[in-house]
Order: sequence, then structure tokens, then C-alpha cells
Amino acid sequence: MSMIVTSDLTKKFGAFKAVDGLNLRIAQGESYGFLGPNGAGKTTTLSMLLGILTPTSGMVFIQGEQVRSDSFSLKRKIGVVAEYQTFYENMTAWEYVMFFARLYQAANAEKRAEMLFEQVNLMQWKDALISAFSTGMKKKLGFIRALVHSPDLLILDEPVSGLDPFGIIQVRSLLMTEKARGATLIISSHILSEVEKTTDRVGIISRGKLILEDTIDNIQRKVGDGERILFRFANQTPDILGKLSSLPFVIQVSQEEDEISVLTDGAKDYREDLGRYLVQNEWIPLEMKKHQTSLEEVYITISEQSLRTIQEDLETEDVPSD
Amino acid sequence: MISQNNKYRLHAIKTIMERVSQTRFWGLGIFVTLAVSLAFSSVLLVNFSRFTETNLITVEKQPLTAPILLSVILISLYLSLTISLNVSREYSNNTIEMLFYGPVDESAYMLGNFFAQLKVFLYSLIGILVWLNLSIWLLNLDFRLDIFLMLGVSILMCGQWVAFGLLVASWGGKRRNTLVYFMLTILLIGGIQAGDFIAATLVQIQSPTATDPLVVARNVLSGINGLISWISPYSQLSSAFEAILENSTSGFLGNLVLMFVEMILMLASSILLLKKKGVRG
Repeated sequence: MSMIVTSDLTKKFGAFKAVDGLNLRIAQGESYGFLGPNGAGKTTTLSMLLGILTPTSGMVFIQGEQVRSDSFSLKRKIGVVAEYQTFYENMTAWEYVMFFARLYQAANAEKRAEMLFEQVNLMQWKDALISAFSTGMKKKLGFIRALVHSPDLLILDEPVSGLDPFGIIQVRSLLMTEKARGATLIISSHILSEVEKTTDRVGIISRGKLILEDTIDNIQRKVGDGERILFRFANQTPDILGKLSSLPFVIQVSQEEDEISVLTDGAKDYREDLGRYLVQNEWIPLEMKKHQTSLEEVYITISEQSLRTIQEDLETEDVPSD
Repeated sequence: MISQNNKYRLHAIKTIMERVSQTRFWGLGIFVTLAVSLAFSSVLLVNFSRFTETNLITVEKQPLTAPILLSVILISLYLSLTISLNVSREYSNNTIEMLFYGPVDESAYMLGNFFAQLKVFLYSLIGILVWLNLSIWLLNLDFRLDIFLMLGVSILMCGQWVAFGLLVASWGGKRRNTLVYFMLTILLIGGIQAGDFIAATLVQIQSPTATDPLVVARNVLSGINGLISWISPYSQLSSAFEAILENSTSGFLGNLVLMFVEMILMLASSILLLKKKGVRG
């Protein structure tokens, strides 16, 4: 069942189209990464998902129900961590969380809040005024507020910005727990390594349009230039590079010091084929590893200049053959 | 039958009301305003008492009318200004957006704030009631049940002021704008009333011809002032008090309806305006 469906979602500010005919389908329990450069329309889209902004055209459905600002029953099931969070600074952290717990009519709120305070290491600060909190502590408090009512859907805009490495680990663990509980996660972030660790699927948006959407593995395969396998040998024979180049699935072979890099067509994992071939030729590798293109590399590859070309290529590639 | 969505809305109103009223009680402002208004009311009452003693004549049916009017107006003004600043601060600081991520919409937010101030006003009425009883006992005044009716109708006047504060906040948005709009509106109304009084006095002194600019100005100001008096919560409350003292049920009910309609109109406008502007500060 789909948790979120958007249909031709469009938002205009004057003549500027911030979001342009966006069609998203995010399954229940899925962790979805929402990526894109600054001004791509990510936050505008998230605001429309929350009913904060009204779409110029198109619709948003959460659990099959159309989202409006007065969708009380829907909004009770959503938790939000915004990029720029603001708090009632004259309240203590505990009072603040309890206020939101009451607002959301959270069950077992005190127990749940205590657990969350413990999990992000804020327990000793729970009775301190929020005005005394650092940026990182406020970010964690935002997570507690967003999770206190055990939401079905978590919308996170730059969730780890402002956190130190320990904070990032705590938050990541928190998100994994929520995912295991069955919550759907939408994570919009510029920290791509974090998105890579926490999401199943990503959508890349640019100029308000969704230009790419797939699992991280598939995107890496589609956008990366094939798959690279690296070898290290004890003794190299001079003709090894030429022999490897002659294999039908090998695109390119190169050597840097004692490391040989074989670029394959990426249609499958060729490590087994290559291993067999090397052993048959009595070239015993000391080390063999697959180099995975990181999401960061993929993201950089999909630069603003090449967006249109990639989109056209992918559209052609995805046309089903009868 | 209340729909599930409206049950959630009512819950949101109640939660916001509790938080805002708690904030009001935590501050000193309401207690200072109550003390100041009762101090002024005491001065009025003492003056009345001295006048009666000196002249051996009572010119008022209910000597507590003016003190009640003064104290409820001062407290309502305070509650109107504070809610206006409270909402605009939420708008400026963006805390309103955090609320709207959850089960809160424009109507729940505005009504929560509205009822929070009314709750504070109701508690203030207890203070006023204690003061009234103390004054009746100390000055040996006649205890009449109409003071309860007066205090009751003053709740509507407070509602009008609070709705006005909310309307100005949703109109102004940011804190500074809201404060400026609030003050300008009050000063404009006060200025027109003062201008009308001055123009009327000058016309009386100078006795100019009908075409004299002074007379024209006086007529214009008088017309605007008439309109202000018609829509002014103070005038409506004052008329309602008079109707109570004269046992005029129709006069009383007429003012009650006018006050209620005006309050609802301002409240609905504030909700619609917030809806139109959005919560992003």
C-alpha cells in the first residue's frame, strides 16, 4: 500500500514554478531519500505534503486521503523534523515535548518521551530551559517532538545538519528503530552519505521536476560508468592488461602502481567470471574488490548541466520492449 | 453528531488554550493590570462616595457601573494587546509553523488563543467580584444582582477586544507591524473622538456659519464618530449597562446581539486572513 502519492503536483510562486508536475509514490514502511540542489523544490514539496502550502495544481494523498491544512486525523500520524526548527524557548525540554504529546494525543507519552530522551542522551537536560540548549541539542529535541507520538510517517528535512558525529550516530539509530517499527521515512538531505545509509530508494529533483528515482544500487549502476573491479597481484605478467581487455564484458583496463582496475559493462557482478578466468591463466590475485560508485559521486555526476541529457537517456532506456 | 475531524479540532483548541492561558498566568502582566484597574476603580468609587457625602445626593442608580466599566475595559485592552503580540511573535519566530505540522489548522489556532484570553478574563472577573463585594461592604452600598449581569455581558466585550487583537495580528503578521497597526487603530479612533469633541467645542464658542470649514469638519468628524460609537465595544457595553439599569430587555438583547455578531465577524476574518497569508513567517 502507498503511504504517499502525489499526482502532477505543481506549485507556482508568481511566474516561477517551484515544483513542476511531480509524481511520487512512496510505499508504506519505505525509507525514501529526496535529493536535489538548493532551490530544486524539495522543501516546497515537503510543505505541500504537510498541507502548509496549497498546491497550485495537482494533489497529495497520504494513506489514500487527500491532504489539506485541516486534515487532523492525517496530521496526527506525521512527525516532522524541519531544517530550521523553532521552539518555545521559555519552556523546559520536558514541558515542550509534553505539550506536543498532548496536542497529538500520544499514547504512553511520558514513557515514550523518557525513552527518546535517553536515546539521544538528553535525559539530564530534560528540565532545562530550551533557551539554554545548543543547536545540536535543539535538533535532537526536534526529533523527540517529532517521534513522541510514534508517527506512521516521518518527514525529515536535513535531519543531521548541526549535529556532531555522536549526534549523527544517535539519530541514525533512532531512524533505524523507527523504520524497524514500520514507519515510513522521507529524508531530504545534502549529506548524501547519510541518505545512502538510511534510505531504500532515492528521488532526485531539479527545477521542480523529478529527474531520477530508483534504488541506490540501480542509480549507481545507471549513472555510474559501469562497474569497476580492482585487483592486486603478487607477480604480474606483462600481457595481463591486454588479456583482460579482450574479455567481452570488459570496457577498459588500467593500472595504477600495483593495482589493476577493470571497468566492466555493469550488466552483472563479474567478480566470479573474472576470478575463474584469472585462475585458469594461473594469475592468482592477492586481493579483489568491487568499487561501488558512492551516491555522492552519482550526485555530482548528475550536475545541473547534464540533467536534461540524462533524463532523455533514461527515458529511452526505460521504454518497454514488446 | 461531532465528526472525528472536529473532535480533533476541539482537542487542538483545548491544548492551545491551556498553553496560552498558562503563559498568561506565569507572567506578571495580568496581575499588574488587574491591580491598576482596581486601583483606578477605587479612586472613582471614593470620589463618588465623597460627592454623595458632600452634596447629600445620589445621582447614579448603580454607583458601581463606572468602576466595573473601567476595570473590564482595561483588562480587555491588555488581553487584546498581549494576544496580538503573542500571535505575531509566533509568526515572526516561526513557532506557528511547527504547530501547523501537527493536528492544528487556522481555526483551531485562533480559537485556542481566543478562548485562552477569555479564560484569563473569567479568572480576572473573580478578582473584580471580590473587590466589588469588599467595596459594597466598606462603603455600605446597596448590593444589587445587576452587577452579575454587567460582569457577564463584559465577557462579550472582552471577546470583541480579543478578536480584534487576533485580527490585527493576522493582518500585521510580523511583531513590529502588528504593534504599529494595533496602536495606530487605537490612536486613530481616539483621535477622531477627540477631534469631534474639539470641533464641537469650537463651533459652540465661535458660532460660525453653516458653510464655514469648521462646521463641515465638525459634521464629518461627528458622522465618523457616530459610526465608531456604533461599532465600538466600549459604547456597546455602556449601552448594555444602561439597558440593565433601565430594565430594558430589548435594549439589552439588541446590544448583546450586536456585540456577539461583531465578535464573530472579527474572529472569522482573522481565521480567513491567516488562511490566506499562510503560516510561513
